[in-house]
Amino acid sequence: MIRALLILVLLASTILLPWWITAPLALIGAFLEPFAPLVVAILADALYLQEGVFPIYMTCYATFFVLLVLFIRNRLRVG
Amino acid sequence: MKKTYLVRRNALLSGRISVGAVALVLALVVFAVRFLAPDTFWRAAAPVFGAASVVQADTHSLLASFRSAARLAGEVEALQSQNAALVSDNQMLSKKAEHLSLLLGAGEAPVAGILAGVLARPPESPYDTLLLAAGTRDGVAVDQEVFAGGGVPIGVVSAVTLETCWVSLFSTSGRATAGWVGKDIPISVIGGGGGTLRAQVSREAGVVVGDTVFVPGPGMLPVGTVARIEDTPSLQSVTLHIASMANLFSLAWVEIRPRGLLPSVASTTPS
Repeated sequence: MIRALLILVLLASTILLPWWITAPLALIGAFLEPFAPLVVAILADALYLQEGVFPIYMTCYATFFVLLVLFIRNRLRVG
Repeated sequence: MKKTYLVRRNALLSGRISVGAVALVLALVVFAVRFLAPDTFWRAAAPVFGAASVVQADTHSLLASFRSAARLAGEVEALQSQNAALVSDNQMLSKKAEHLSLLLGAGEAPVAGILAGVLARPPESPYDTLLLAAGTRDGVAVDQEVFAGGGVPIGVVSAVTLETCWVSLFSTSGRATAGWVGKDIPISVIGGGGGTLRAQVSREAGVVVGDTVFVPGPGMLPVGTVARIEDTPSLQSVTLHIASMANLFSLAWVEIRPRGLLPSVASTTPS
């Protein structure tokens, strides 16, 4: 339930709040829901990325961060 | 006989799906629709952006209401007197322009610009671009100039679809635009992101805080004023921090015009 609420808040903040507030919120949220930054980044790219522009920076950065979080979580579980 | 189950296999079949995974799939669907059917996507997204703009404006008003009433009243009074002075100046300049036109003969007929609503703007947009609700259907083309209220140039159309277009702002990080500061000191105005502009100029140029910065257009178009001068003694030049004349964060409407054309309407209405 909390995870679903977190995702909803982050999606709303993508449209309502400045990106420099949304981005840290998504990064912090990653420790509760690892895919949260990637969801926010994909939505941000869908809404704000200019037509014909590549690479999709937000999604690329978020993918890297999510992989890092998943690796850390995996290592902590093993330990 | 005891039946042995494979624990891992059962874990996979448990049917427990993460909320994040579902949200990720939905986000990917939205992303795919955005690029495969852009016009349908923007038609559906426009009301969402509109509602978001209303919420942002309401939030801004709510936060402003917490400020001191006396200070707000003072600001209103100062702005009213400033507005009255500007209206007077504008009327005087309009009359002067009319007389000059009569004396010199009528020039090119003013071309009507395209009025476009702003769907998304910084700081919500991380790419420092404006998304406008006007596209090729309305006559918008790449490289046309975009003006905020009062004829302040803010950027250039950089991409366009049937019903939407994107504006690359002068303040986009790293973007360089030729311009002038003061009367005739040439500078390169560099975007600093987030609606900020800066420029390097020689210390001997004598630029002071409050000087106006212009970019080329029909004549010299003011884009901002020098808000702060950063002077490092070890360098021969100083860095100018320029405050834009248009507040990009609260733009609701803009005008799009082909490059170098005269404004269709140049008026200041009293409040």
